[in-house]
Amino acid sequence: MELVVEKMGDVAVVGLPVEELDASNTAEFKRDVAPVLEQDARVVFDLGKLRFVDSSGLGAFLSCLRRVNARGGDVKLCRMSKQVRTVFELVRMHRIFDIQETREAAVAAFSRPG
Amino acid sequence: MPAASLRDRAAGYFLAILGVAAATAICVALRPHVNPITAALAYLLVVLFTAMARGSGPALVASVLAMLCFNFYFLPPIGTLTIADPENWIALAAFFTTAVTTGQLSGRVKQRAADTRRLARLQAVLADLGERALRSDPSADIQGEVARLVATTLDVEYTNVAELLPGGTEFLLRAGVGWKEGQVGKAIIAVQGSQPGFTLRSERVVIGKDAAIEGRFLPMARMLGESVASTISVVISTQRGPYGTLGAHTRRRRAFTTDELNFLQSVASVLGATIERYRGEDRLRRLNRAYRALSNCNQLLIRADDEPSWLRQVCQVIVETAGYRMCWVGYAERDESKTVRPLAQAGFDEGYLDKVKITWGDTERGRGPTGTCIRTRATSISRNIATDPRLAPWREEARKRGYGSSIALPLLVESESIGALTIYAGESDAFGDDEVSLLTELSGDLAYGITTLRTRADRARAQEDLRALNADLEQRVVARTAELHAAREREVETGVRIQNMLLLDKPPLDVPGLHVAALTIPSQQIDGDFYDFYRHEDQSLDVIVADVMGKGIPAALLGAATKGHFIEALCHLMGGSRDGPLPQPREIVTQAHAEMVRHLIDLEAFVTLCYVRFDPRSRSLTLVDCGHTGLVHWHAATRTCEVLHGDNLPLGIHEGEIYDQLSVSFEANDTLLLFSDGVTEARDRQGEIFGYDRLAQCVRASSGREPRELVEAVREAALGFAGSRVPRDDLTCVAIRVVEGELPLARWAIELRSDLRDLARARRFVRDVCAGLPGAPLDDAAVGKLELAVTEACSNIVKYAYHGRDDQWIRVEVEAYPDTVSLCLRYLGEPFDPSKVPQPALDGSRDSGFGMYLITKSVDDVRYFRDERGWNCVALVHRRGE
Repeated sequence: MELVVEKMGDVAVVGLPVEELDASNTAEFKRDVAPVLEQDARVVFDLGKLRFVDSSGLGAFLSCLRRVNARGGDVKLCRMSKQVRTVFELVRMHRIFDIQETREAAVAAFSRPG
Repeated sequence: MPAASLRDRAAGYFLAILGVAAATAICVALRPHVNPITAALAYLLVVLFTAMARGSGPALVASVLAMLCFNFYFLPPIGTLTIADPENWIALAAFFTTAVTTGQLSGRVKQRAADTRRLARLQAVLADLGERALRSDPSADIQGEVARLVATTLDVEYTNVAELLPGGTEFLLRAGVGWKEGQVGKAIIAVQGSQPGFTLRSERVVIGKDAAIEGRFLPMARMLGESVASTISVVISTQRGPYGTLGAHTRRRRAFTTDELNFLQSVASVLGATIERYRGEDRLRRLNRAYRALSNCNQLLIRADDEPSWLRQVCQVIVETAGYRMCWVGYAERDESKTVRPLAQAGFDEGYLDKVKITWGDTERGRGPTGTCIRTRATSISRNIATDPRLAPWREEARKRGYGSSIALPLLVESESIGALTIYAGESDAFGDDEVSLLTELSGDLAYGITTLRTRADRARAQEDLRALNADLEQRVVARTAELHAAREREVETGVRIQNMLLLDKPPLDVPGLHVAALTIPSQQIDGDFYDFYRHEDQSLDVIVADVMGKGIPAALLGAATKGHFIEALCHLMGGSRDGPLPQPREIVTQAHAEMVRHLIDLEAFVTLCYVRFDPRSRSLTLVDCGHTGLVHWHAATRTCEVLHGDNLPLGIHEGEIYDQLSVSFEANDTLLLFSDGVTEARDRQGEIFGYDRLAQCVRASSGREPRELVEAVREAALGFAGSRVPRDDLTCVAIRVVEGELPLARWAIELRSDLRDLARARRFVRDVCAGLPGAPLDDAAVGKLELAVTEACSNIVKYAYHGRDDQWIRVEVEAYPDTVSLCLRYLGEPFDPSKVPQPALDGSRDSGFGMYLITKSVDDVRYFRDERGWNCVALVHRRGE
């Protein structure tokens, strides 16, 4: 999928181009996001367009997080819809991911200590 | 000449002189009274007396002396030996002649008397010998006795009995007197050039008067180192040819009288006859022993059980009973070197068999009797091992062990030599013809025995096998019986299963507004009863309860075929009008009947059935009763029971039959019962039938209860009435209860491919349904959760049930009730039970495994089941307002 990657300082902001992330397209997402995760230690996913995510989508985000964490970096999420957030909350992943309202907030969150 | 004889003769002459002197003295003393004639008579008396007493020699001396004395004392001139008167010459001559003649005559008479006496003595000796020979037995040394007797009788220093050994080239000094110690019984004399050999050849009495000049042969005594002058020998004959020779030898030169000669001949004859008798007796004795051995061997065979030990016993018997020195049985090995393998042995062996290495090949070690007999399949005898050239390789070993002769007899099994029985006797030439034939018989018995034993062993083995087989068979029979029993039970079970599978459809569990239960109690035989349920899109339910005429597999198959025809008819009529109105039951029945009537008529079979369609929405039922039992309708409101009947013919009666239907309405809580005639026609012991009234009573009594309880009540009542746990006929019934408030307000369905790309379609379907739900709309969160639940459920189905195949189907049905929204996903493939999915890790350590968890968190109830058609179902329920 056509990921829109925008550098804001040393943070890579990745815009998801799809409304739905489910078992039918997570593999594609994981494949296409891999180069970003290789290059950047600080990644923000902009989920502004995303309306639906299922368990495999959640798994994909978790996978990204683990890979970046392994290199000492972090992943932050922003612009998450209510429905997507509900799904995150169902499996308590809102505690694992730092979820910000806006891109800027997400990028800024990297500067904050802790 | 012995001294006694010399003295005896001297005494004769002395007596003659004394006699003449005495006569002269007496006559001279009495001269005045004695004239010359008287004196002459006195002298004659003396001569006569001398001749009589002492033979002609002394008589002649007496005659001369008497003549001189007579001349000197009695013829003038007296006192001189001259004779004056010529007359006196004549007288003197007459006197002398008379005296000599008388003396010689008397001497000859005496000699003859002596000869007669001697002859009588020879004859007495011979007679005595004959008598003793007759009484003697073979163990007695008759040859030695003869040798001693001849020596005494013929007054010789040496005698011998020379036995011609088998082979005819040597004699054995069998017996004799006068010989050096150790020679008798051992010394061997060659036939060639020897005296016995010459005697044998000349076939008569041979006399050698003077050994010094003997040129015909070497006198026997000379050969044995003795010095002899005269010798005489005769042949000892038997019926089987010469036994040998009998000889007498003396250092004196002497002649042998005819009487002596005859005597010797006679002695030889007696000896020959005796030996022959011995041989005969010996043969008889051996024969007897051989007979006994044969008999014992045969008895052994009766008791024998294993071949090697029996053969050992046989060898033992042959040696001990028949008196042979050694005996063994060897088997002809079919190996390269054609070994004869000793299998059993008895007697004096001392390692003989270990050393001899006998084969049956045509080689040096195979040409002995044993090898020959195996090779030629004929008896082979070595009459004298000592001289038999064939036995050269073994002679020394055989000699050491005292084997004189041997016989090898083939063991023939089906005219094949399997081996040989070889017997050694201590004597040479031990095997007479009778004995050979007896031993041949023995070997035949032995071979027979071996065959018998092998057969017996085979038979024993066969019997053992047979026993084992029998035991096995018995066991198998027992097992088989059990199997058969089990099989029969299985058959009944299978029959029931066939019936259940082919004929008895599972009552649908989730028909809105209707609770359905069915029951069948199989009779002992598989039956043709069946029921079937068809659910339609419009929520109506078709129920068929049928009974095929007849019993057993044919009825069951016909039932199955009937079912098939109904499905086919339904499909056919519904074809192309998927969304159009349902075909009417009468159309379905008519169509199905049209398809199958010809077959039914051909089979002379018919089917009775009730086809009922329940429409819970319109609360009406449509019945086509084809000669069946009708249905019982319990009206809850009026608490009345009604039996509905149609008047159609059963299927298979009339080709071209058009079936009619009737419709009635029902209310909530009404109960409807379809059944087979096995219920109403169940009979008690008195033959009374269960009937409609009792069935109606059951229905009445179960009013307000679930159909499951009703069918149980019918079962109890019918079986209790019949007094049996197993009905005579199948008991089949289907109960349907109308329930209130359970009808869905709306119903939607979609068929998705098992393709993950259809997940979006599934979510769109859910969104669309939710948008169109009657009553208050669902909030976005609720819709999102339903979307999530359906997405996760479909993903799991694709992944686990279809293993990623994208060409299968998932049917999603949504039913809207006032309080709930129910989603049902139906699919084939691998069943998977959500309860078995483990709880996911929620700490971010894993990036999968959340699907099922998300489903349970997204809806209020998740239930997995398999529907009546074998589809997997996952039901997701969302309660509104929660």
